[in-house]
Amino acid sequence: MSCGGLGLLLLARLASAADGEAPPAPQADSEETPARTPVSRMFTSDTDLRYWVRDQRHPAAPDRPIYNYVEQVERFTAQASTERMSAFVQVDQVSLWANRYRLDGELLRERELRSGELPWPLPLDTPAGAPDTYANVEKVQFTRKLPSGDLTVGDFYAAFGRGLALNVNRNVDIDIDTSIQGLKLALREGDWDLTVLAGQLNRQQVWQENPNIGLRPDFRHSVAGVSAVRYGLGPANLGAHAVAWRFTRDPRLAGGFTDLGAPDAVIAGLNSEVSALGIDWAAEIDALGYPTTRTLGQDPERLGIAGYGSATAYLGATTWQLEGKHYDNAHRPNALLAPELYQVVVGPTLEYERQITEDSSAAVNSNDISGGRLRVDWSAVPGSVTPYASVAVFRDRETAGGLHFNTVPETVVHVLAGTESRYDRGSIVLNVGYRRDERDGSGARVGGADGACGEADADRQVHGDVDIKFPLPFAMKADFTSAVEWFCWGANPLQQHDYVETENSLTVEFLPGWFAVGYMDFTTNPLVDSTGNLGERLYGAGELQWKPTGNLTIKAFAGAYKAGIRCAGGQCRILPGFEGARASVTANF
Amino acid sequence: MGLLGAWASWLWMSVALAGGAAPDFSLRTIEPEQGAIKLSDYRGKVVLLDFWATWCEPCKVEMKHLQAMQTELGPQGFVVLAVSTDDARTRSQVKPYVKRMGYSFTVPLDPDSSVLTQYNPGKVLPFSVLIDREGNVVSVHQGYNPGDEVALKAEIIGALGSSAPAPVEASAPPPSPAAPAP
Repeated sequence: MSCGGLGLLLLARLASAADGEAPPAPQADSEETPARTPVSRMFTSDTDLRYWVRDQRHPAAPDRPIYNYVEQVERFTAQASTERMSAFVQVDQVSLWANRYRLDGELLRERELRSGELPWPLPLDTPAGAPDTYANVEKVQFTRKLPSGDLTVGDFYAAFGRGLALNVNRNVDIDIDTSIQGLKLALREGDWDLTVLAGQLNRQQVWQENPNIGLRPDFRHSVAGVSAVRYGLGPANLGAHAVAWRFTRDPRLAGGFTDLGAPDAVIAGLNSEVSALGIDWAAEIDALGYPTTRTLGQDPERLGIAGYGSATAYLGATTWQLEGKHYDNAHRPNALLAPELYQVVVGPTLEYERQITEDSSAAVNSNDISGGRLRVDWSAVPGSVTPYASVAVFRDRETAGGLHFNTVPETVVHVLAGTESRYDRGSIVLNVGYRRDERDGSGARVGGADGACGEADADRQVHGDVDIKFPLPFAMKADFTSAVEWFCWGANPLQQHDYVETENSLTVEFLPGWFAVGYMDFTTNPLVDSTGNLGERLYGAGELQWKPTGNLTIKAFAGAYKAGIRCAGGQCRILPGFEGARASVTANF
Repeated sequence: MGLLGAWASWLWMSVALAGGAAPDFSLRTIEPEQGAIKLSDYRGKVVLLDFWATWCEPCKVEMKHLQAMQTELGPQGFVVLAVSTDDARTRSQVKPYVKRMGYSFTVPLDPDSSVLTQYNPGKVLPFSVLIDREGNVVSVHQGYNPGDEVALKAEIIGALGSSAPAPVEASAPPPSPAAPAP
């Protein structure tokens, strides 16, 4: 039986308990087991229908836009829990419609939904009128609740300390949902937390934001780890952890389970939190060993070191937070994992996410970087108005690897200021900053690629963003967001073009639960792989949203938005642009 | 049409099946000395489980209103558990944010989304679950738009009024050494 079948069976078993049948329980507890076990069930359905407009023409048929097609994506989740166990399953499905065209009497596909390697029991050559379809039982989880913890089999997330050794978590904001598929035992007894896990990585197969084209199986690397944390050591807690990674070379469903052997990366570390002297301290230090050259290549013997620390003081109406990090040969596992969208050996970035670009994202994931950030927040009006200022300085020594535009080390300085103001009927969040990436030996002052920036011995960036929520007459409400960025590339052999870009939206709730949204993007960034619908660089779109209840949202969108890098929760990803129309229904029950 | 029909069927079945007891959990909080808290520690109170993160702007907009609700309705037995789903990368930002905003509610930490997955398989934020005094789910809310707090407050008042406070000794588990202060 497949994992999916097992999960559905467990769900059915739990559901049956709701009708009066209690789930199996240990004999020792039988006297305390109620005759009818309460069962909670949660369901979500996220349906998206997209009509993709592509400004493409077949060389043999330039008068027909044959590359337009319709994509339908469904993500359905079901979860059931009793006092003793829970089960969860997620099924993703995608279909491409109108994905055929006829040329010279021959029926052809515009694009392939699946690669040939992706397991799929149905015939690949579906009839002409039928959609190309793929469905996948993406996540399955069964958890047995123990007196002092949980035993989980199937898909789960895991994080140790501050994430320098292991941090596998969902990030649905940027369409990333990688889990570990295996076994996890989490025990909590008094002041002790103990976690043991083993499994293989499981990247989501069907995208909700990206076009589903050429879907392929993922690389299921294996991972095992153990963590123990002791709380209640006076004002402190202290933890120790170890993680071993074994990377697979081939995309296979059970690659991590079948391709076991000597680990390619072994990580061990300590982490601690202390509240003392009026300051909250946190620290983690890890050593990374690379026992093999099988996939990691050069310098197998050199240890990597990763460290992170923070200290937060509360002085009157101000909050002072100092964070620092040091990575030396520490992110080599991520270099292997990144192509599969796994970045699971990553600590805090300390960088402001909305200013991260195609170049500075390399610093986020640098193998070899040291630096820190000091941020001061002032509660000018407690709970309502909180301006802040921060300065970050990094020394990025990484010069190799495809992520970087640099061939020499650079020093990064970033100053940022803003305010977070919240009122009963609105809010204002404002951030403005300036970042400079100064390369070593950049005394030679040469012009930027297009001369727009004049002398350019460093990458320079000015950015700002604002989000204002405010009331309107007749009980209407509005939300205006805008982000602007000016970027000037410093001179280097991989020189790109300077650019300006902006993203804006205005949302108006014109009736209770009804929202009209207007979007406008503009960019001159040559790295953006999309074309505007209102002009080559100008994008416009409108959306109507209806939220009849707190757990049902229906949206209809038409227009275009630009491609670009988007970051959330310390992870970044380049998401594609879109032109066309889409409708979506999201429901929770 | 077939797909739409199947989806409508699922929707109907979901409505028919929804509800039930809120799954219990145990989480550490931003105050290490508080120890781990359990949802069942709060049996007898109306609880709003609010899942948020420091990088989630709508979550932060909503939290100001949740604080006001807890201040106003706390004496009647209403409690907010603001479960931070910040992962290891952004965990250091959680406590400073809560303290500088002056929020007084308990903030459990769910860095690996284990509790979030139990309550919100879709994993989208913000997400909140209203739980009555007997520990049953009253309603769930996904997303936040200014003004949503009005309907939410009405639901909370309804839950507070629908049943008298349960005697603690009759419904609560044996007090744990680290049980939160009422």
